[in-house]
Amino acid sequence: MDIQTKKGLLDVVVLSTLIKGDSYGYKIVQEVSRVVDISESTLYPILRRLEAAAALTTYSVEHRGRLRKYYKLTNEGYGKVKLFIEDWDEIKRVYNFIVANARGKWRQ
Amino acid sequence: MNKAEFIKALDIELARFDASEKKEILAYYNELIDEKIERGYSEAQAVASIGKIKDVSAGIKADLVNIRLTKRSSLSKISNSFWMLILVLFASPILLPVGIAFLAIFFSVSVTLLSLVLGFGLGAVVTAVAAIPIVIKAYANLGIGGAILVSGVILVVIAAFALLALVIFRVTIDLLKAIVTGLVKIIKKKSK
Repeated sequence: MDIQTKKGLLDVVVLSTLIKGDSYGYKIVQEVSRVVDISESTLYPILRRLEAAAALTTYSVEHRGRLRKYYKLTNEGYGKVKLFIEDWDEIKRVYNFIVANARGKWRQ
Repeated sequence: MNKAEFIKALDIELARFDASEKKEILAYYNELIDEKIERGYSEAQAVASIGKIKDVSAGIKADLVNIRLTKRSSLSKISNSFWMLILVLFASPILLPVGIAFLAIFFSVSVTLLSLVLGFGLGAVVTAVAAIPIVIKAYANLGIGGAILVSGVILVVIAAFALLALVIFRVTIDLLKAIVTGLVKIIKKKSK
């Protein structure tokens, strides 16, 4: 996938994995990897950015003698996911427009 | 490479980062490696799976530039928002008095605190210069032991001066930053 497209999508993908419950770094990478190729080092800045944007909050829980950092979706974060879903009709229109233009080229 | 070596190397690689951000990053990778080991990776495999340290830090640096995190931006950031503020405040007749008050506060705070910094800094230098004859006298009267003792005391005084100057300098920067960002926030809120 194109880097810019992926970047825009990843924020929403990451947030959407938190809808069913709070999660931690390793698990989020696993979940997201099911749909988009992502590395741990790509995830870190996304999480920080989303935290700075108040789309998620964090808290730490003790796990086997160490701390595990959990990420929790906020209302703002949920709003971003909802917005993306609601945007779908528009995205589809743009996609169809692009495809139609590309078809012109294919016919030649 | 084991986990400790990896974290140490990443720590060095991120030397330019803001201390609290660096702590977050190191904790993140520490946790990831632990999670992998818990799931059956060997320590070396877990570390290797993270990738090259250069790539890790390059990715973080590229992505974090937008989030006020690197150490260096602090001063240039103040000056950027400072000039933006001046422009905004002096462009509007309603905000003009606010602008004048802001400038007055900004300069009185910076002049007061920076003169303190200068004072303590000078104190350190003056102490160092004044120390030379004192140490020579102590050597003449009390011998080498006395000279070392006196130099020790003087070094502590110099260090105290230098430390004070440094601390006040940091406080000044933070305070000015707080004044500028506080005002920016208020204006943004009001203009909504």
